[in-house]
Amino acid sequence: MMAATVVGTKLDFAIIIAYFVAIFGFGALFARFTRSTRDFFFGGQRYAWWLIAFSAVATTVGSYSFIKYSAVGFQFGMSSTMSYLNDWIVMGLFLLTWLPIIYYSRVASVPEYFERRFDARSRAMATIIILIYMIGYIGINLYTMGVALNAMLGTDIFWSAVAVAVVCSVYVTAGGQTSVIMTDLLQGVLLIVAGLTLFALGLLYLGGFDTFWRLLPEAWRLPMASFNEPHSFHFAGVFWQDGIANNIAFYFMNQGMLLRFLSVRSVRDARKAFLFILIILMPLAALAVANAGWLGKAFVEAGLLPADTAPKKIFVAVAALLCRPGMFGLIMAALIAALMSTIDTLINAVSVVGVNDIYRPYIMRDRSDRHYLRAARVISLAAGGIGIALVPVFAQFKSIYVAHGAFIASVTPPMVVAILLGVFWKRFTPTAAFATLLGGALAVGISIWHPELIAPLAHGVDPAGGFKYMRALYGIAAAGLIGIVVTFITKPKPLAEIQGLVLGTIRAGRERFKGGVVNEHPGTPFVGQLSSIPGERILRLHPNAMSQMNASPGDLLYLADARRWLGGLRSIHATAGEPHDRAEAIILVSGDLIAEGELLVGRKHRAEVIL
Amino acid sequence: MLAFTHNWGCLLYALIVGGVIFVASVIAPIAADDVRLSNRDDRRTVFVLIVGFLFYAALFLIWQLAAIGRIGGSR
Repeated sequence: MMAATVVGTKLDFAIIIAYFVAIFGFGALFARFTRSTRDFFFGGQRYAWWLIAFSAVATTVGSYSFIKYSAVGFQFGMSSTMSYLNDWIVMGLFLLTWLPIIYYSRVASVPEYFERRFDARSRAMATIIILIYMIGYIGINLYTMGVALNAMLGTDIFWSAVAVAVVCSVYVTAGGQTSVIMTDLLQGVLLIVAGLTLFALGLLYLGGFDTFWRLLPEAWRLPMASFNEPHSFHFAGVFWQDGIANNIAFYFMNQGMLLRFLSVRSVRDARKAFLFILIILMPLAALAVANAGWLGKAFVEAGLLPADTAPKKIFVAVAALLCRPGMFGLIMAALIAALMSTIDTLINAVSVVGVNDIYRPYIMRDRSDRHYLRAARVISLAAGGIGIALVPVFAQFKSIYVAHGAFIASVTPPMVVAILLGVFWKRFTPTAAFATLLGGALAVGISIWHPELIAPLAHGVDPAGGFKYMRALYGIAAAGLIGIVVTFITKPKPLAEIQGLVLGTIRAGRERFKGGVVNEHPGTPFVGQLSSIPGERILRLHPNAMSQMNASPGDLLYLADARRWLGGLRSIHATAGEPHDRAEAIILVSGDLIAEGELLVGRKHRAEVIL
Repeated sequence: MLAFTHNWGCLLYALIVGGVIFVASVIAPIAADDVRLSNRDDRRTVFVLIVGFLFYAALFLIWQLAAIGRIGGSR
C-alpha cells in the first residue's frame, strides 16, 4: 500500500457516494430496454451519433489518465497531449474501410471477423489475445483506481476496487450496452467538465492565461516532444507506439470501442460520431486530463508548489491547492467516472467475446437467444469478479503487472498488422494471418530480451531505455514481413468467401446487409403520427411520405420517437412495406415492432431511409 | 533556442508520415469503388475528413508558432 496523502473531507465523501448511487440507479433504469443479445451487445443498433460520441470519449479516458497525463505534462509540458491528438492519422482507415466492414458484415466480435476472413485457428488465437487484453485491463484499471483513491481519500485499495466493480457489474448485467452508453454519456460530460473547471480555476489562481503561458518554459509550451530524447518520452516513440500501433489497436481490435460504434443506428451516424470525437471531444479531453501537470509546472515556476513535487502526485497537489471541499469531491467523482466508463465497457465486451466466441461455438450450440442473454449476464458478473480477484495479484506481484504490459506490447503490433493486411489485401491468406499473429508475437517477445534487434528502426533513440516505444515499429515491420512472405507461398481464400470483409467488396457487404439493392439517394426524413396495425414486422407510410424520403418498398428505414434528445432510445429498423391509403400523416407499424422499439402509439415519429 | 528537430522536425514528420497514411487511407477505398464521390454521404465524409486533417495541421502550426513566441508576443 502506498503512503496516504489524504486530502478529502466528509463533504467530498458525500459527493462521491451520491455519485455512485446516481450512476447505479441511472444504469439500472435502462434494463427494460434489453430483451435480446442484440440489445445486450449492441443496444439494438439504435442510437444517435452524439450519444455514442460522448460515451466513447468517457471510455477512452481511463482511470489512470488524469494521473498519468498530468505527470507527463508536469515533466515535459503540453506535448503530453500527443497521445490524444494523434488519432487523426487513422481516421480515414477506420471511417472509410473498417467501420463499414464490421457494421455491414454483422460480425459481433473481432475474433468472429478473424474466422470469417481467415479460419477457426486465427479466431481461437484472437479470442485468447483479446480476452487476456481485456480482463487484464479490468484488473489494472481497478488496481490503479484503488491506488489513486487510497492516496486522495485514504480508502482501502481493494475495497475501493470492489465498490466500483460491483456497481459497474450490476448495471452492465441489468442493462447491457444501453446502460453502458447512457451512464458513459453522463460520465463523459462530467470528466470533461471537471477537468476543464480545474484548468479554469488554475488560470484564475495564477491571474489569467497570459501569466500561465509566460510562466511555462518554452519547451513546455510546444505541442510535440523532442524527436528522440529522453528515452522515457519522445516524439518518434509516441508517434509509432501510440499514433500508429495503439490507435489502430484501440479503434480496430478493442472490442469495447467496436461495440460502441456498432450500436449506432447507421454507418452515417457512426461516421458523424467518430468525426465529432476526433475534432471536438479529443482536444477537450486532452486538455481535461493533462492540464493539472501544466498548472503544476507554472505553480512551481511561480514558487507556489515545491520544485521537488513528485510527478505522480502533481494531479492531487494541484487539485488540493485549487479546490475547496465539495469541488474536490467532484474532481474525484470525475476520476471515478473515468474508471467506471472504461470498466463497464470492458465488462460488456468480455461478455460478448465470452458468449460469441467461446460459449456459443464450443460449449452450448443452437440454444435460444434468451439462453445466450442469460449466459451474457452471467459472464458480465464473472468478468467483474475476475477483475476484482486480479487487484491483489497486481498489488503483490509487480512482475505480473509488468508481464501483462509486455504481453500487450508483444501481441498488439501483430494483431494490428493481421487486421490491416486482412482488410486491405485480398491475397492475404489464412495461414499468413496465423503466422503473422504467432511469428509477430514471438519476434516482439524476443526483442524484449534482445533490444538490439530494434536499433536499426529506433530513430536514434538511446538504447538505455530498452526501446519500449520503438518496439511497436519493429513489431509492425517484423509481423508485416512475415505476413507478406507467407502470403506469397500459401493459398488465399476464394474471393466469394470474403465478400464484404475486405477492401473492394464493401458495396457487396452493404447489399447483403440490406438484402437488396442499396438506395443511394435518400430524400428528407418524414415526421408523422404512429398508429398500430395487425401483423408482423410491418412498416407502411403514405405515398407522399415515401416520395419525400425517396423511398421504395424494400428499403431499410429507421423510425424513431421525434424527440431528438432521446437519442434513438425509442426506435426500430424495419423494411418499408407497400404505401398505405390512409391520412398522409399516419405511420402504420405492427405491434411487434412497437414493442421491440418501445415506440409510443399516437406520438410523433421520424422516419428516414438508412439503405 | 530549441533545436530544429524539437521545434519543427516533429511537426514535419507527423504531417508527412501521418499525412501519407491518411491520404492513402482516403484514396484506397475511392480507387476500390467502396467510396463513391457521386454519393452525397460519401462525399460529405471525405470532405469532413480532409477538413479534419487540415484542422489538426493548422492547430499544430499555430500552437507551435505561439509556443516559440512568433505569434502572441510572449517568450
